Amino acid sequence: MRSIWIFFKDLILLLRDKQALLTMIAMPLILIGILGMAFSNLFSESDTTSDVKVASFELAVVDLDQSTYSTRITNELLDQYLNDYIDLQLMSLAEMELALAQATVEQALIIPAGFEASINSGEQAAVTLITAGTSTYPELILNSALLQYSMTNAGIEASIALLTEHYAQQPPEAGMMTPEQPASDAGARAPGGQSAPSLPAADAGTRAPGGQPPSDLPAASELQQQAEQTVPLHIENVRGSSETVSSFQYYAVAMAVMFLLMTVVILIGSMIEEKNEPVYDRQLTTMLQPWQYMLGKFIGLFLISNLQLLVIVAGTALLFGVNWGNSTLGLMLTMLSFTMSTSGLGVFVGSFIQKESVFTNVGMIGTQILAAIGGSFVPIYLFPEWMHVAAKVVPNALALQMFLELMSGGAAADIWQEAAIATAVGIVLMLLAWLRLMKQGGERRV
Amino acid sequence: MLKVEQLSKSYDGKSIVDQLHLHIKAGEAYGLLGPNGAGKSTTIGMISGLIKPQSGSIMIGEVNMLQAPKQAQRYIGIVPQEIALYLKMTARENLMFWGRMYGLKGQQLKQRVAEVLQIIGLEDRANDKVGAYSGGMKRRVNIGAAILHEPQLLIMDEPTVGIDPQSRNHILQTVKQLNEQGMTIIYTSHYMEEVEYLCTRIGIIDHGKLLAEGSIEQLQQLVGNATTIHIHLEEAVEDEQDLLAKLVTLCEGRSFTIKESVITTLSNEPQTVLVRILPLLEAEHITISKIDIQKPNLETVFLHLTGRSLRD
Repeated sequence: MRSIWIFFKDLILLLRDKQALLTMIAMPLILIGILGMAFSNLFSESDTTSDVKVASFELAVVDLDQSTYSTRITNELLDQYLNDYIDLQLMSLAEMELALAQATVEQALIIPAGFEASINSGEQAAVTLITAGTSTYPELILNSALLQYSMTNAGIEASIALLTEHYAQQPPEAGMMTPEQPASDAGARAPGGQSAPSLPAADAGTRAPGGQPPSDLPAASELQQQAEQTVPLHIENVRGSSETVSSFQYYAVAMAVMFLLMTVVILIGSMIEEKNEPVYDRQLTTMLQPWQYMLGKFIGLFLISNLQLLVIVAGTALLFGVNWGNSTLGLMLTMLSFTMSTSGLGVFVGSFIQKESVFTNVGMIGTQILAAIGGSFVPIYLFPEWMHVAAKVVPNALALQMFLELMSGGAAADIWQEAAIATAVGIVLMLLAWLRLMKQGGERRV
Repeated sequence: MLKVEQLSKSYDGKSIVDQLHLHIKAGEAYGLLGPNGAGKSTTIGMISGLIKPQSGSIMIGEVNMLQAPKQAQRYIGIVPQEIALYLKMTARENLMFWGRMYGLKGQQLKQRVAEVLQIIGLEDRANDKVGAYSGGMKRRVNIGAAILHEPQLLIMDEPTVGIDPQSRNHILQTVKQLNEQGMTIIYTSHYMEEVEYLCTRIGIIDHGKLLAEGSIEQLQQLVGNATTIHIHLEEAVEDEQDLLAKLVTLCEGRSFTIKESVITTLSNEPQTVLVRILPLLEAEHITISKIDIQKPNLETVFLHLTGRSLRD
């Protein structure tokens, strides 16, 4: 019972700390709003989850292979499956160059000759996306589509890389690129001074689609080499063919888990501060046992964290229409297991560190690092593979993936294993903190 | 009520409390005197169960503090030197919280909180945050939190530091009243007059050892008729060690201290000492601003036993 009174006392103190309340409740909602709107073009939105609409884009496709596989990509995948997002225009290389130069299209996809041969030989095939725009959205869509294509088509064992090249308009004195002018002469430079890649040769303008590639078009093997050196963007639907996650949904989760870590830092910081104050000594001279103190702190962390999450869930649902999924049980399971693991981590760290200033500094830096690795700043989809692996051991990344799983249609059954791991971690850390406090008790220095 | 036997504690090889014996009877008001670093706080920390001793035993009534600390702590209340309260909570909220920590609940808790608020004279300000209180009011709540569970032994570590005379008087009267109601008190203070007013028995501790113990009269007998001479100087002395050496030589081994431009010594014949010292000070071009000669008191005893002033 004394543990409950420790919690109530902490709750009273917290409710009277306006700065802490602002950090815990107002800041996440504000940031979710800003980031949700700012990064809306990074996510494919579903009508039901967001009021931010994603515009479709025009894509010029040059099929230099004219094979079964290349036709499938153009007709089946891009034209049928992605027709909500892409206005497809088949054209020749020359037409594509003209369209890019006249800015009638901003994106062009070149399927090189030898594409099917590469796939059949089990080598990594590559297609090239030339983009004149600044949005990364087309790149994400195409990467996702190609990944899905290679995974769902029987007989394709090789992966298909998407090589992205930025198209830059030539300066006037260099002359506008025309079908008669090789693109390699253009010496185009991308904004920021980076070399833009050469366009495929322009004499192909006289050549009908399906002909041989021009001499200065990168050969399939060259593209393959490039592909091996390039780390393709790895776009992964959280749940295969299920609902997609909107920017507001993503950042609601990302900010919620990050600010929950900050709450742990704030509350454990106050615990460490209290341990250095006479009130802690006075508590130790009462009937209060060290384990009751630790349990009280744990209960406080656990309940306050859940309260904070509940406010963020309700707040984002009301303010931004964020859908947290259809599984209430799954949502509760995720919240409880995540807060259990962070509360355990909090009291464990708090039982070891003696100086509040050290903890606050280290805690804030640590929170930012965990948040960055865990996908709170940049969507976890955009991380390279090794970072995906690294993020698996980070509690906030685990929670983020559980929440996203639920948002994309998952149920409690899909996340129970992760929830069990997080809960077990929390309990083990709490027990270690208890052992530490038991050992510490009775050895205080005056 | 309290029986401490051969209590020892050292940190990093340095002895802080050394084979301390202390026997305090039920209903006694015991003053524990000692300069800073004498081992008072460590002794109190061990008696209250906060610090584990290296050796020795502590009995609170019939309960062994080292074997059953939580059972023993039921009988004691601690008033720490610092304000051990939550400043963002009101006095009532603080008392309710500390009462719960002592195991009080329900109606009993509410009743005790009301009684304690009356004892410390803060019924009218009970719902104000402690942070908004004056130093004296905070000190009173600090005491209130320690007596909620009606302990048999109340340990007070300098409870009147830095407060106004009115609050000090209130606290002294409260403690006196509690003692008269049967509560055993251990009281440490730098203020001799407080100890003389409250305590029936006094122990003087220095370097972790109990140097003397007894009633005020018994302790005063240790110094006989010795008076304390304080010679206040106009300016600080440049070379204190040199002057001390000259004074000791002149007065045949008598003990002197110099602190904050005040020369202090003990003597049964103050006039004789002054006749010897004054020419020396004149020769050294040291200007005197004031001379105090005090009759024997606890300060004199303290100086006699420790060679230090109580506030050193």
